[in-house]
Amino acid sequence: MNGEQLGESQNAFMGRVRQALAADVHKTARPDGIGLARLVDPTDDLVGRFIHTAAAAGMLVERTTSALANSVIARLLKHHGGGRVLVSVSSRSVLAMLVEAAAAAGTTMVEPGREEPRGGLWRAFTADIGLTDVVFAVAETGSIGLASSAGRGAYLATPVHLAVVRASQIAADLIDIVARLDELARSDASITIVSGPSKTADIEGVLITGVHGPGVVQIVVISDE
Amino acid sequence: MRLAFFITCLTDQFYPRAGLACCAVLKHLGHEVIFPQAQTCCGQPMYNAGYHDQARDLARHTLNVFEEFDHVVTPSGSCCAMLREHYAPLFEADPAMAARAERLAGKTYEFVEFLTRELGVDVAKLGLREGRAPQTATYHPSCHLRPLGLTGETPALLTAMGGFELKPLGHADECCGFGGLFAVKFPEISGAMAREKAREVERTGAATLICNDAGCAMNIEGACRREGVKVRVKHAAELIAEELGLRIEPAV
Amino acid sequence: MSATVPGRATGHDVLFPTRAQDLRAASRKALADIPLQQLVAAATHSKNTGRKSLCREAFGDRYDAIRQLAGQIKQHTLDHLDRYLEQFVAAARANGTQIHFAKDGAQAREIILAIAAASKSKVCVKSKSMATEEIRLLPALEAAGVETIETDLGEFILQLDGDAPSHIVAPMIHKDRHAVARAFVRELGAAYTAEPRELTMIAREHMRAKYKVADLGISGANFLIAQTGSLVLCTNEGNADLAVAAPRVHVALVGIEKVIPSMAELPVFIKLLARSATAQPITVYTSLISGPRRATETEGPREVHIVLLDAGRTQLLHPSTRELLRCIRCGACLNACPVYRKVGGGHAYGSVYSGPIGATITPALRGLGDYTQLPQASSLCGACFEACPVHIDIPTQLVNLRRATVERSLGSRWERLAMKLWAWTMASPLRYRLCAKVQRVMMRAIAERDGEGRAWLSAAPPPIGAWTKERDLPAPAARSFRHQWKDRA
Repeated sequence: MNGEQLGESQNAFMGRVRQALAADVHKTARPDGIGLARLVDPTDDLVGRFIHTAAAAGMLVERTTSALANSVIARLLKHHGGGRVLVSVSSRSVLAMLVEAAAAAGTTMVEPGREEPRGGLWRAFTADIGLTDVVFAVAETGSIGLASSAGRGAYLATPVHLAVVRASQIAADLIDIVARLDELARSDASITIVSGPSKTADIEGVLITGVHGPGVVQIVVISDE
Repeated sequence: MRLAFFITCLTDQFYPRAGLACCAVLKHLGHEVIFPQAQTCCGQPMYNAGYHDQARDLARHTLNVFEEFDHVVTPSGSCCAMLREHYAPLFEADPAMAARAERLAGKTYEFVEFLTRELGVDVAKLGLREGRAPQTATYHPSCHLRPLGLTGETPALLTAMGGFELKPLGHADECCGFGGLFAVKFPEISGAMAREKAREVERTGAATLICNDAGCAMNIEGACRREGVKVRVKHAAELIAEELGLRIEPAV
Repeated sequence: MSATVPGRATGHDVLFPTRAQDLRAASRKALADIPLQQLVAAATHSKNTGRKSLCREAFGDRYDAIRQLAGQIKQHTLDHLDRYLEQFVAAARANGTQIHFAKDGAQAREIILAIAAASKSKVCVKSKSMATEEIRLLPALEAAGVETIETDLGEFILQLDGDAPSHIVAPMIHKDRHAVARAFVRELGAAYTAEPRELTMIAREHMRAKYKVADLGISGANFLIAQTGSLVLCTNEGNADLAVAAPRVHVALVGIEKVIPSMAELPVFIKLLARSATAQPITVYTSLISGPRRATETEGPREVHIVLLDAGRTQLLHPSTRELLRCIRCGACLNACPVYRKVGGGHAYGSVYSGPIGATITPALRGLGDYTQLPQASSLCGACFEACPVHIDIPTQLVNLRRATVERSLGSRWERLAMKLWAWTMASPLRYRLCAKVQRVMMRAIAERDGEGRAWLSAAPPPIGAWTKERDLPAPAARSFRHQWKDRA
């Protein structure tokens, strides 16, 4: 299939596009005033703002220091039922701490690194908690950024997602993560900006959480200020 | 100032009292009001229905009648919008006409807009009647006022006048369902929208509904009457004229 | 006019009528259906009110300026769509994505079926995509032997119940919980429950089983980023993310109008989209997909295909209708429209795209001749224009379609005659006065007087009878403004 062309040729397709644009007298210039949409200033208290918006979006947030992070994560793992934990990280520097916390909480770690012919989410489907770091966070929306180099299941498929955020990772506004997104789009197949537990209101507008993605998102913010 | 008054066909035929009130108030403020007899219709129904050749005929006529004046005032927001927003684009293919239309657009005003923004009238200082019992009133802003940026003017004016307990109309910025020919082309939908508006008017318990557009007024008043909602429908100009003690013949 | 698609007839037939869509007839049925009126009114009012309060809270008096900014970004992109599409295609191919070009719905179906066959796909999980509805993809997949499951909860329920979506964003605002319960008993063998949480969990378990065995994942896209060749998916449930991550192959069907220049513009749309669509600051999941799994990744699809869809969009791209392609499918115009609310949602429009945006693009995509009523069914109140995050002047587009209807003689012959006569009458002061006098005399003759002596009509012959059927009509005043003015002189 790779050699054979499906559908129309690019030339024929683009020909129709060009034809529709051919007689244009006036073209709109590319606007550069994106800053108009800024909602949070980098000089704000970003940790405080992030905690507030993440909680408003329905996530659980706890703040701790580097020294106590390990025990806090272990406690939270136990609090959310323990069981089988899938650890997925983008930054190897955090991996050791998370593995230690998972062990301290008496949880079973789901085997890392095993290939799955279909698409590889089978590990996540058998896990109770996904334990991850993040690649960025956004104070404006209380969002955390996850990237596929860490796997995808730990934040898309487990019932509970526990994410560890370092205060320095918190950007003020969505406008401030653009460069990071550009970078990640080169290195990772998929980036997901998570802003709450999975939800729907399709049935009569009644809000239900935990439809497909995690029903509980627990964030631990490590801040040494 | 010398002002040309554009009565608009619906106000002329169905709510003449509103037009007379506008003129009386403007005269009371010391302005000369001219009524160019040759005026007819702004062409909005034709424009909205897609009959743009016909709309252009009426636009040409209206331009001929009004362009010699420095200020054109009209009691209807929708006709004002027609002249201000749609006349020039109708003559896209005729730059000379388009220029004439632009000039007219620049000097056409809705009545309350003219009073509050152009004349800068301080209603509180108008010498309004003293010691009258406060009336309950509610206000329906017609849809065309929104793109003109004129939704706050009438409530502000009424509040400044005093003597009115202004009850907020629920879902005020929902269309009343008139829409010109829409009311007879999709009467069931239009009727349902009008009935909703009548129910909202009823919920306010107001004795008077202020509505500055003859099309909306016909529609809402007609729905109120059919639904048994007792309310008087008046143009803001009528209220101002009454408060100033100006005599307007009842037009029955 | 109907799409000739193999496979079983589905509830979606209501969105693909076989003759000219009679919106007025559909509206009469909907107006009599009180439960439907209540469901649709509740859903649309809350989202419309929510949009306004969230946008006011976030943007203050910058709201209109930000909508215009988003509109300009889209307009700029559309004005240079050849350049941006080619940039997107090159960047996407560079990250390993395979790009296909579909000139129409039939070709798009062919492409997707070929990909399914080549990848030996037996089970397909699908996330909500208006484009896939537009081309009637699901029946074609099933006819080709690919078991296909809708994973968006609302679409899943509609699929089970043989029903069609009635809103661009919230597909089952027309259905209540009891209908869902009955469908689950009938199709899933579930025990009867009408409790939304329980119903949702039943659906969740059913769909999870499918994610585990699915070969193919199909999605749409909210945006395509030209500079990086990425596609963006915005959802609340997480179903799209699972549907494109779990299987081996991911196919995205995307209209060419979804392109934006770069990541730099994305935040503007993200900030507007969810606030406009579902009255929330941002969707729970905003995913950017830039190709199949990287060499070092162990999860995610091994093949990513993007099928770029024309299907009438290059027609809309012509200057007079180009702004319609700015649409980011947020549904804000549907939620703001009093007509959409009164006709009970999307089914009345006989098109996958309903409400104000549907009334403007459906005639272009499917032929004005079969959809002449859609642009007429509007009071031109402008609520849609005020709600649109990309500042599309829908009222002007509706009037343009009405003009096209007149120019192509698609409307009623009697109406054409009547309008020309009316305009001719209005163009002369003398004819105006004569006509006004005739109208005044005739209407006052059949009117009743009220307590204050004003004259009212409660019944009248056509065409005025259409008005009086629904509400009273004032008769012209005994003396018009002109008369009284002349007397004062």
